[in-house]
Amino acid sequence: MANKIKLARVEKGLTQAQLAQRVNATRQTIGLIEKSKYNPSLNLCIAIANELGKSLDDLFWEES
Amino acid sequence: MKRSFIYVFLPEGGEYKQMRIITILAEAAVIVSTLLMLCLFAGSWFDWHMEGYLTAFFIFTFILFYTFLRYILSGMEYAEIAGEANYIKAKRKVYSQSIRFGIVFSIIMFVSKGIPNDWIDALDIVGPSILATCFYFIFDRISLKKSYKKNKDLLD
Repeated sequence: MANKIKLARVEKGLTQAQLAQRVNATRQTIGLIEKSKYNPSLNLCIAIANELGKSLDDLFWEES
Repeated sequence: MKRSFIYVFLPEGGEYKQMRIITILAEAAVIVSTLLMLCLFAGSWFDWHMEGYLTAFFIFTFILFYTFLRYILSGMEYAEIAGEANYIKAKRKVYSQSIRFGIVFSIIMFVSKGIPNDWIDALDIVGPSILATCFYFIFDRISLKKSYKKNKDLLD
């Protein structure tokens, strides 16, 4: 999950701070999500997915 | 989830910060409940009873200090401070905020205690003001340092 968000963000050319500002979160929150140290709420997941132009599956689904 | 009065008391700054504070408050509540339960057992086994006033004071101060210390040490207060330049700027801000806090604190002390008659009265105003300013500064600096370290580790 972590690397998928970071990859999508870098692909989109955004910094952590820019993404954080766009989804109404803090840079620290984005950093923690990318390092798998925090599980965001569904609202934040949707906001991040929308901002990065990806689906929730693309960013958060993990094959077992 | 946000249909709770607790959100009125939580600082702005994103869901991570709010969720962490709620967790810390819950931890404090569980610890206090356990300690009160032990006091109840102690009261029935050893005929030892805590006064109501003392109990209320203990609960209030414990929850306040536990939450405050965990908040400071968790490094979540300064969520945006990551670069060296930002850190130095924030350090300067901590200095000026501490001085402003000290001035406001001494004015409040001066208003509540009145004009000092001798140097002992003056010391009663100046002493607590200096102490409060020092504590404010130390805790703010610790919080900033912890936040900076945490944010640096999370940087892209």
